[in-house]
Amino acid sequence: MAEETNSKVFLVKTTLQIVFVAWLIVVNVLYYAQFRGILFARLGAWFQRWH
Amino acid sequence: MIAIGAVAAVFLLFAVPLAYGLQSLSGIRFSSRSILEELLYAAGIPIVSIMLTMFLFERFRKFDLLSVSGLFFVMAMTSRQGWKRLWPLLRAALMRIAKMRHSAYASFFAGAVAICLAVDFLLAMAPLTGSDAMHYHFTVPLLDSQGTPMPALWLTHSFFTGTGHTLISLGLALGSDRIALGFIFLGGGLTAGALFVFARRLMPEKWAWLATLAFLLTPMTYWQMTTSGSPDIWMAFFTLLAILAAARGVETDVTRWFVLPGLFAGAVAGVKYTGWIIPAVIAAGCLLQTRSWKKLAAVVFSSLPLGILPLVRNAWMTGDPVFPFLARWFAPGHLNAYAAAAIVADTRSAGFHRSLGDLLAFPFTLVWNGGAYGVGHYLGPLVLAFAPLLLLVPRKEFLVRLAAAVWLIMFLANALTTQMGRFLLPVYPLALVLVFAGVAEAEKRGWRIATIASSCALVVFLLFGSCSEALYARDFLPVVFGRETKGAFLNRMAPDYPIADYLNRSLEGHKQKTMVFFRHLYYLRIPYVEGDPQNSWMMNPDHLRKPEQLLGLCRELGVRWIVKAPDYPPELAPVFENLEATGRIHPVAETTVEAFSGWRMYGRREPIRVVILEIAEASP
Repeated sequence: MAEETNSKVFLVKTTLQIVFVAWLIVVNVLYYAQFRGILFARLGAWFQRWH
Repeated sequence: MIAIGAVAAVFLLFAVPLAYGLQSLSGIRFSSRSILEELLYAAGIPIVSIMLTMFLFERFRKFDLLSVSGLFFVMAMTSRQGWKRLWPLLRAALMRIAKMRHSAYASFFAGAVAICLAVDFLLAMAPLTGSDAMHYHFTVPLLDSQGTPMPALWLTHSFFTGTGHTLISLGLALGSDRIALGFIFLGGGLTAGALFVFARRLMPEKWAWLATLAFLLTPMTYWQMTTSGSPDIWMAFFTLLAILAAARGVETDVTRWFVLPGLFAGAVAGVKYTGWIIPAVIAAGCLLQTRSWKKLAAVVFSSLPLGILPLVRNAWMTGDPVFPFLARWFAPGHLNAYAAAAIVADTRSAGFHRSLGDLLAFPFTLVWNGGAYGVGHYLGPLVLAFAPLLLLVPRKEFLVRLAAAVWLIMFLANALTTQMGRFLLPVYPLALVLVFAGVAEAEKRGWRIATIASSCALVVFLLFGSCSEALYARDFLPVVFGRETKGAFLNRMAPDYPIADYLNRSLEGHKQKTMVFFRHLYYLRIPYVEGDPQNSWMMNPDHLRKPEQLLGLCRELGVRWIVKAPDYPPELAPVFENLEATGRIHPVAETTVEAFSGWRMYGRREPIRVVILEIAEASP
């Protein structure tokens, strides 16, 4: 019985952690994606300066 | 050399208030939990006193090097016990730092924090180029110090200056805007210290160091404490101190110690109107926790003197304590509906919407589309990313509940009124510490996957923060190290500087005023008034429909020249063009300069035609 409970707790804990990891990935990808404009502007300016 | 001189000046100057603060703490027999906490309170108290005194000095036009020296002299002479306490305390702090050598990770993190602070300090020593600072944060104290009565209706934003701006005035009175920028940096450094103290209450040392490092490498932080020239970072410092002091008061149950949270919360309110949320929530929190009206009174009455000063000044001068936001009701006779609407629009983000869907989406859009929400993306992704772990944070402690309440109410108020991420800076350290407490708790409970994933996200953010700061610093460091002249740097980095420089050269020595329509006024060294209705309460398009009305106002303001660069403000363009067509204003000089177009970080520049026009009837 205790073993079954432990395994259920483990399953819930692991599932919650995997959901959290998925959340972390989504938040971070969407966050860093918004800087592509500045990145391209900077790269463009750098490219113009050297070519 | 100038930068090194400024470093020495700021540090030497800071010893005096520190001794004064320690003297005050011994006066109320306050005992803190750690050396750093005691030093932070000791720094906070005199800064509050300086803000209060300087604000009154400014009102009575007694603000100069002599009065400032007098204030510091009085502080130094009345702090005998403070001086005695300062040296052992500094020695103990140094010994604590020396002890860190024995712990590899503590040395590593302390070194990383020290490097961040050193880079930030160097950045802060670059000449002023921040947009809002060049519009009013530094311009108003400078004009005040030169004898131009401030605040003034021809620069609406001058009424937004609060007690935090007195530290800028102090730096200018001591002879340099670098010293003023040094004080702003100091505010950032002290905030990092207070954040560390707060974090240590909730998590092991390793996570506290990481939280401090994440704070320093957050783009909003390094921008605000270095080049922005805005005193808002002091709000973050005083918010942290107020919360720590309130928690200390609750722990010890000593009524007189509740003066401290009130004093610090009042200092937050004195910097910006929105800061009033902090004393309100802290007072309510203390009442709910202690159920003592005496303690509530201690918080409320100690927060009033500093918080209320800018409101009293504004009410005295305009009838509206939070000018111009309530001018419609408090001073309807002097309402400039156009300027009032422009100011409200200016304090709201481009993406501002109050529908339920938008409000619910705000915590996400703030982070993912920060450009449309008052540069909310400068706050980084960590608070949102780690937010689910808040569920793990033990909520028993008053400190945690108060910090969470302050953060939550400030965030809600922001979502409902402005949706500007930038205005969340004062409570950002609270949110950061709370989510880091969640990560530390996950580690403690053995949530390995969550801890490893959080650590990876943190490493990515620290790398991103380091790289972005390095890129950012590249534009500023050459002038700090003397590899670029100040003029060349300002031409390259300061918005509208080429126009201001041209006007300084063209109109040097004249006593009559020049009306300008651009925003960045700090480097103008000729007598001037702002003429853009968006920035000047006096330029009411409803009252300036006829050329005679406009000429009458120019006469009243003592204006002889008008500068078009490149156009007149659209609302007043027909009247100015009429004056030009009828020869009542005529061009006397013109040039073409290169200036920024849009946000400076995108680096777009374009040629701008600058024309100086003289009012015929004003010429001798």
